[in-house]
Amino acid sequence: MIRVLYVDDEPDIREIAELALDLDPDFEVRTAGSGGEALTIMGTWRPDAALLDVMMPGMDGPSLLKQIRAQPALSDVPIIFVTARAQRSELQNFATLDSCGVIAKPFDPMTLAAQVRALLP
Amino acid sequence: MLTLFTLALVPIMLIGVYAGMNAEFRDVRQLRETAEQTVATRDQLAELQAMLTDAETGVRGFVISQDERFLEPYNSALDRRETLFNALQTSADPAVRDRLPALRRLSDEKLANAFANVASTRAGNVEEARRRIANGRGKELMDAIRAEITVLDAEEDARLARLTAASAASRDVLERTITFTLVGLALLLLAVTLVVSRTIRQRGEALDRAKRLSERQKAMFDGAVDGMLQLDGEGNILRMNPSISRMFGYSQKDLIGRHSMFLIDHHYSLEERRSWLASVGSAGEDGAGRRQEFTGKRADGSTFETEVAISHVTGEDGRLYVAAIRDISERKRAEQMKNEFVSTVSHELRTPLTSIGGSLGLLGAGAVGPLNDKARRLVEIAHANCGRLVRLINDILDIEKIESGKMEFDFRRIQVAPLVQRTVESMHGYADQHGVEIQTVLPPWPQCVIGDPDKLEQLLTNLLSNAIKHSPQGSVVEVFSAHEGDNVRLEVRDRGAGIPEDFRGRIFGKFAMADASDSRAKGGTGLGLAIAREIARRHGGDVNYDDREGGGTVFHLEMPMLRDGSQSSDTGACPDLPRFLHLDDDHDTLDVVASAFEGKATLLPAHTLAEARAHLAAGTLDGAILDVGLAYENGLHIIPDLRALGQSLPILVFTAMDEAHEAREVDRVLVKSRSSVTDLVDETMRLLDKHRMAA
Repeated sequence: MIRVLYVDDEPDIREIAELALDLDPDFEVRTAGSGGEALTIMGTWRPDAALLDVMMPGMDGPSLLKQIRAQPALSDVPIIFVTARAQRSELQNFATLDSCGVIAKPFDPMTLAAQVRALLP
Repeated sequence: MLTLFTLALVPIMLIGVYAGMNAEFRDVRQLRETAEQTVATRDQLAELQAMLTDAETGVRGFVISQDERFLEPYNSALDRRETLFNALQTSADPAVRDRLPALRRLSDEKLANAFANVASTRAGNVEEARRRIANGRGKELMDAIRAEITVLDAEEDARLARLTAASAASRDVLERTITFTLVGLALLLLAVTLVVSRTIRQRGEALDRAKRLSERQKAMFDGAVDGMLQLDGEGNILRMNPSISRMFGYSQKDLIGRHSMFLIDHHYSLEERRSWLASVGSAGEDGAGRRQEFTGKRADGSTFETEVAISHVTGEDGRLYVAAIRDISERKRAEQMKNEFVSTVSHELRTPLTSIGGSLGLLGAGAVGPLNDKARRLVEIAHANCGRLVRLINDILDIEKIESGKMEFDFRRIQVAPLVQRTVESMHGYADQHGVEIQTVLPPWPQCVIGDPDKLEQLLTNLLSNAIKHSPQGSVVEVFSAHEGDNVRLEVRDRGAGIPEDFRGRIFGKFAMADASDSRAKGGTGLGLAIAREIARRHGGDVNYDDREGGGTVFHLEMPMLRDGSQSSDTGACPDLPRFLHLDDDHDTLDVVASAFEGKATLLPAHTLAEARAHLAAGTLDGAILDVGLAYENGLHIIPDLRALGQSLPILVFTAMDEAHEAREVDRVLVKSRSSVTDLVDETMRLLDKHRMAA
């Protein structure tokens, strides 16, 4: 099973993303509504991929990435950003942030799992 | 001109008058002399006649009385005769002189006759004398003399009269001439006066105008909201307006005479100061200033963003510059706010659309259970419109970026065919929905262009989706690629209804759709072609359309084709990434820099000049990054080899500080201790774009 953690402050999108990712029978999906919640989950449940929304109140995606990387146990978890700010300069910026890719919102729920698989190393 | 001509007439006329007067004076003098002569001649003739008469009378008295005293007139006549004739000979006019010998003969004979009488009387032969007198010869002679003198008198009279008449005539002519000349002069003077006064008036008006203009200019200079500086050829401040003081917080006396660089928040070397004006003010010989942005520095040390336009004027004092400085900090803030706003709005709109679209997508695809046909149809409609809303937001954001010049392009060397195939593949689903087939006709040889693959794909997607949605079911949309001169020409051909006549003029405009009902049916945003054309133009090309023979439309993109060595390579592939030579003797530096360029460029590492030359010989290059101090060599010695390739390549020097001064004729010198590897990447890619755009 591939453990995927989806982090987004929007409950509706969390729910849809969970449904969409669950379409892949190999995925085991959990979601978190904030950076703090995500870190808590990851403390006990190490994911094989973490999808982080970029714009979140409090701790945003890039800050969360730093927090994750700061923990030795999580330093090599593949990170994928999900963003509604699909501007090139920002996308390039995320690419340099030690992530393995960016998925633009709105995503296609029927292919979301495939996109994640494609981005994983 | 006219004035000059008129003025030239004056001396000519004066000379004419002088000549006329002179001639007249000569005439008058001659007339007076002649008159005096005539009078003298007539006096002399009268004297001669009287003298002879007196001598005759005296001799007769002597003959009668033998009184010697009666001979006094005769003696004096003898004495006087010679003088008188001599005088006549000199003074008389030629006509008189001609007749003088005759008169003289008569006179001599008369006197000889008298002498004979005197002699006879003295000899006591009075009777003989009386007889001689009585025989009338003396009277005859006297009458002849009188007649001769009368003739001569008349002659003199006539001569005088002739001269007087001639003189009068010439005086009349002169009088008329002088009158005309004077009238002419008066007219001339009048004309000259008029011309001169008009010239003076005009000059006065011109001076007034110039003064008003200069006042207006001064008012514009002083009253301008923009800060205005007048600079000398070196860039020193000659004049400034009050806005400068307001903007920078300096008073006039703080700034006049200082260099204009003083107001810019950047330290320029002496060299840079010299070249600064030349480069900034060289915008164009038409004098129009190019706009550049600088960070201004106020008297209190705070900084603000300015836009400076410098134009030059060449005046009496040599080249001067006028700099208009605008405080654009407000504009910058507004731009920043707008960017944030656009970004936020796009995020805020996309977030709910993600939920809606995601839900509908899962529902419609039956991911959460089967739907009946009607329900699935409704969900499909909702899902399709959700997609349309997303496209509309994306297109509006694109248009906004294009219009504000903020659309970023990531130019690189790409091949056309894979790009077309990728786009066509992504459009297959859409084509299937419309029952349309896409066929591609691509040349077997590679066509390379400099372009942004994502933007070109967007362009092609727009053309393809237009073609598909306007095609009748069951028809074929063709994508065709060929050469057109130095351009690549991509055609998208459909069998649709063609473009309505009344729509042709605005087809590339914003929100341009043939009609509203059409747009609803086809689900477009009306922005696709406007975006497509703008993308094409940013690639140095254009998008246009033609009617297709047999019905339908052909949209075509033309853009410059890259012609270089890559076409002859065996694989026929355009290297997707630019290739840079990196010459450095340090392994770690080579590795670090290569990894920094990953995804952006391929680095060809070389430790020595020989290795570098091997790379040059092996394939094409897009640029070079050089270290100066190699183990045993100078890295700059590869520059002639690079230049010999004939291309305009960006050359950067990335080196330790103490070697930097040696680097000439390179695009940029970055010093290892001061610039990060990221700086090197950014600068290299920027220079590459610059060179490619220039090429």
